[in-house]
Amino acid sequence: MSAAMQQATVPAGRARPGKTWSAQLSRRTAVLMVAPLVLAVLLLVVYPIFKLLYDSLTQGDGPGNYVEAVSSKAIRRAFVLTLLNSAAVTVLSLGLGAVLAWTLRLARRRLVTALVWAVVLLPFWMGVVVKNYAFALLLARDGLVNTALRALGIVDEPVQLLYTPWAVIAGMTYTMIPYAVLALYPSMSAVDLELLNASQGLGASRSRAFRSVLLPLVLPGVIAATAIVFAISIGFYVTPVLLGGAQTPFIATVVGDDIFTFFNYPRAAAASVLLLAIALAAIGTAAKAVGFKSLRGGLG
Amino acid sequence: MTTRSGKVGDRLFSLAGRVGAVVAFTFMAAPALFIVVLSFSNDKFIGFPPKTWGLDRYTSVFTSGTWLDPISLSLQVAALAALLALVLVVPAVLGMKRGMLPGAGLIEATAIAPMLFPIAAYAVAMYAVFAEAGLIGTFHGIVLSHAIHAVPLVVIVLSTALDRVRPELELAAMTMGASRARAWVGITLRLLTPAVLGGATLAFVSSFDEAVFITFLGGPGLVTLPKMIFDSVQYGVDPSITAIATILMVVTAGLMLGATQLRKDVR
Amino acid sequence: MTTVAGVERGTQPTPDGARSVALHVRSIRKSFANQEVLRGIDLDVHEGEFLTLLGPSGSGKTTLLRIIAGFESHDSGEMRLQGNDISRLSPAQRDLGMVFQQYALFPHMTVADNVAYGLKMRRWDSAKLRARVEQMLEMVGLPHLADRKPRQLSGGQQQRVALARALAYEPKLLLMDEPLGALDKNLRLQMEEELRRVHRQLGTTVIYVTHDQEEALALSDRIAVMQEGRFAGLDTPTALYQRPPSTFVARFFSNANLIPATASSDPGSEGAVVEVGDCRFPAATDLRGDVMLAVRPRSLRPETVADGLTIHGTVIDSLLMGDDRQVRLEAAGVGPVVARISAAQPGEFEPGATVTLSAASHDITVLAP
Repeated sequence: MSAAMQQATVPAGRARPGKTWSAQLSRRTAVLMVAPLVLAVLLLVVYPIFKLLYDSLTQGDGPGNYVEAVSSKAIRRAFVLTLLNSAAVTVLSLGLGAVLAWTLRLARRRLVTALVWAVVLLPFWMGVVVKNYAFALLLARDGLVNTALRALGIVDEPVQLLYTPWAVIAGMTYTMIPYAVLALYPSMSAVDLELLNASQGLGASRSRAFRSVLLPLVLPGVIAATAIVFAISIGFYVTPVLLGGAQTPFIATVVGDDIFTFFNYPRAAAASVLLLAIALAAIGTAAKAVGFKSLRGGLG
Repeated sequence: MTTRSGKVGDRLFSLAGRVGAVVAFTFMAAPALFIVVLSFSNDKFIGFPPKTWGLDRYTSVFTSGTWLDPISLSLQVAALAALLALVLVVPAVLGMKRGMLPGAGLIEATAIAPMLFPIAAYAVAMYAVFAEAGLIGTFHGIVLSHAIHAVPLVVIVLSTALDRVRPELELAAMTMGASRARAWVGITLRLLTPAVLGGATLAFVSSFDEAVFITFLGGPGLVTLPKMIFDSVQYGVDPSITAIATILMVVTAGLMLGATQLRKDVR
Repeated sequence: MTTVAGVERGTQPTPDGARSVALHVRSIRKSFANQEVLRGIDLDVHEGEFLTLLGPSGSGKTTLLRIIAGFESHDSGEMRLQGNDISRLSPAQRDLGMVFQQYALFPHMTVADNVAYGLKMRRWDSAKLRARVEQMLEMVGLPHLADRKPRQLSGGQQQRVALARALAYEPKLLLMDEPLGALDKNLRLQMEEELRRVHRQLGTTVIYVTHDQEEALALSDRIAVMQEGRFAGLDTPTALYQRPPSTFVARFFSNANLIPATASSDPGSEGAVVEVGDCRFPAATDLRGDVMLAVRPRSLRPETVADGLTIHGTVIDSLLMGDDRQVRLEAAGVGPVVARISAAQPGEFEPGATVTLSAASHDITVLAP
C-alpha cells in the first residue's frame, strides 16, 4: 500500500531508483522477527480462549451448559462466594496497599524504605504455595493465631479459622497486596508533597487535604489497581483449595472438580467463560475510565 | 488557621494512618517470619513456639529423596520455559519497536493479556487445547505452558527497556561503519543485556513457582516442586516444607533483587 | 521562483572557486504518507566547505540530512559523494561522520572506546588506533577524560566526544544535526568557536542543520535557507543577510522589515522607481507593480537621505541593548517597523516620541511580494 503511494508521488517519466537503503527495518524482516511470538500467542492465548468459548456452546448440552452452570446450586454458590470474596480482597488489598505505598512515598530513611519494600515483595518471593502453607499453619486450630487469641483471653475455645472464607480472604489479600502497591505507587510518587502542605496551609484539615488534593491525583492508579486485583482474584485456585477447603468452594475449585472428578468439561468451560467475561468486563471498564496506559503502568 | 475540631480530626487521621501502616507491615511480615522460625525447629510435629532448635528439616530435604526429584524437574522446566520465553520475545520486541509494524500495539497487548486472565479459566482453556494436542502430562507441554505464562512479564520488562535505548545509538554505530546486525548486537542488545537477564530471571521464578497449570496440565506423572508442596499440604503436612519454603524464599528474593538491580543498571 | 534563484547560485562557483564538489545532490524528493517534505532539492557542497541547512521545524532540513546519511530513502533524485552514487549504500558504506543533537554516545563504553568505534569498524591496528584516539581527544581538549563513561560528562563535554568520534576516521563528509541544541547559551558560543577551530584545522566538509540563525551566521561558509521542502535561498551568509532573495529569507534570516510598495518604470532612465506612500526613490529592480521592500533594522537611521526610503512614525517601545537601541514604531502609511539605532545617537526615542527614519536605496532589497 505504501509502495503504491510512493509510486504515485514519483513524477512520470523518471525512473524510480531501485531499493534505496533505509534505517527502518524492512517490513518483511520485522514480520519475520515478530512471527514466532505471534504464532505462540495465537496458538496458546487466542486459540484456547476461542476454543473454550466454542466448546462451552457446542459440547455437552450446547448453550444449555450455561443454564446448567447457572442453575446448579453449587456453582451459583461458588460464583457468589468468588465474587464477594474477591470484592473483599480488592478492598482490603487496596486499603492496606495504599497505606504501604503512601508510607513508601513519605519515608525518608533508606532503611525504612528498604524494609517496607521488602515486606511488600515478600509474597512474590515466598511463592504461591508457600505463602498459603504459612497461612494454613497460622490459622490452624492449634496455630499461632488461636494460641494468641486464647492467651489474650478473647476466646476460651479454639476458633475454626482455617477452611472458612476468612482464611481465603486473608491468604488472597496477602498475595494481592504487592500488585496493589505496585499499581498505586507510581501515581503516589508523582504527588507533590508541597501541594498537600499548601492546601493545609490554606486552612484545609488534613483529611480534607487528602480528599481534595491527593485523591484526584491517585484516582487513575486506584482504578487501575482495582481492576487488576479483582480480575486476578476471581481466578485464584491454590488459595481456595488450601485455605478454603471443601466448605468454601470457589469457582476455580468447582471447575477443577468438574474436570477431574465429575468429568464434566462442558460445564467447566461454561463456568470458565463466565469467569473470563467478568474479568474482561472489569478490565474493560477500567481501561475505558483511565486508558490502557494507566493499566499497563499498573502492571509494572 | 484550622479549627479545634479540625485539629482533633487531623490527629485521629494521622493516628489511623500510622496504625494502618503498622498493621499492614505486620500482616506482610508475619507469615514469612513464622515459616523461617519454624524451619529451624527440630520438633517432630509443627508447633509454635518450637521446643527444640536445629537443622534437621534442612538435612531431611536433601537426604530423604522425596524432594530432590521435584526440585530437579522444576529447575529443568523453569530453565527451558525462561529460555523459550526469551527466544519468542526478544526478536519480537525488537521487530515491533524498530520496524514500525502496523498492529504492534495490538500484538503487545495480546501477549500481555494472559497476565490479567483469571488463571483458573485460562487453565481450563489450556486443558482443552492440550487434551486435543495430546500434551497433557508431557514435559514439553508443561514447558510450553510455563513459557507462555512468563511471556507477559518478559514483554513488559524488555519493551520498557528497549524504549530507553534510543535508536540514534544504532544509527550512530551504522554511520561509523557498523552493519545493522553489528550495531544491534554490539550496541542495542548489549544495552539490553541486563533487561534480558532480568526478564529471564522473572520468567524462571514465575515458572518455578507455578502451581495451577501444572495441576491442570501435568497429569499424574509430572510433579514439580510447587505441585509436591501443594499435594503434601493438602494430604498431611511434612514439616520439612518449612525448610524448603525458607530456602525458596531466600533464593527467589536473591534472584529477583538481582534482576531488579540489573534492570536499574540500564539507565 | 525562489528555488530557481537558489539553484542558480548553488551551481555557480562559490567564493572558494575552484574547489571540487564533494556532495552532489539533484532533484531529491521525499514524501511521508502523501505529504511531500522535500520538493526537489539541488545542492552542491564543495570540498572543505561548511554548509548550513537553516530552516524552521518542518521545513525538511532534518529529512534531507537523514537522507544524505542513509537513514531514510528518497523517492527520486540523485545523490553522489565524491562522484559515486550513494543512494543505494547503507550508512556504513557511505563513509560519513554524524553528530546527533542528543550526542548518541554509547553509554556502556568509555570515552576512548566511543572515539575508537569507527576505527575498530575499519580494522585499524591497535597502536595506530590508540594514537589516533589520543590525538582526537587532544584536539577537543579532553585527553584527561578518556576513561570516563559518557554519563559522567557534562553536555558540552559529551558533544566534544561526539565530534571527536565522528571525525576520528576522517569521513568524507561530516553531518551535524542541531548539535548545539541541547546546550545553554554560553556553552553554545564556546562550542561554536571550537567548531570553527576544528573545521579550520581539519578542513572536513560539513553539512550542519540548525534552526538558529545566529549559529548559522557564525559558522557557515554558505547557508541554505529551507522553506517547506525547498531552498528559499542558498548563498554566503553576508550575501543572504544583506540581499535576501525572498521575503521568507528576509523575515526568517535577515530579521528585515517588510514594507509593501509599488514599483514602476522610471521614464527618465532604464531603472525603476519605488513608491511607499508619498515617498519615491529609484531602485535597481526588474519587478513592476506590487513589491515588498526588505529593510534591515540597522539600515534605518534617524536622518533624511536624498535617494532612499523615509518614514515618519511614533515610537511604541524602546529597548536598550548595550551599544544599540531597538526601537519599535508605528509608521504612517507603512505599519509597524523595527529599527536598530546606535545608543550614542542623540535624539528622543522614548515611547510617544515622533521620529523620522531613513534607509539608503542601496540598503533596500526589492522583492516579489
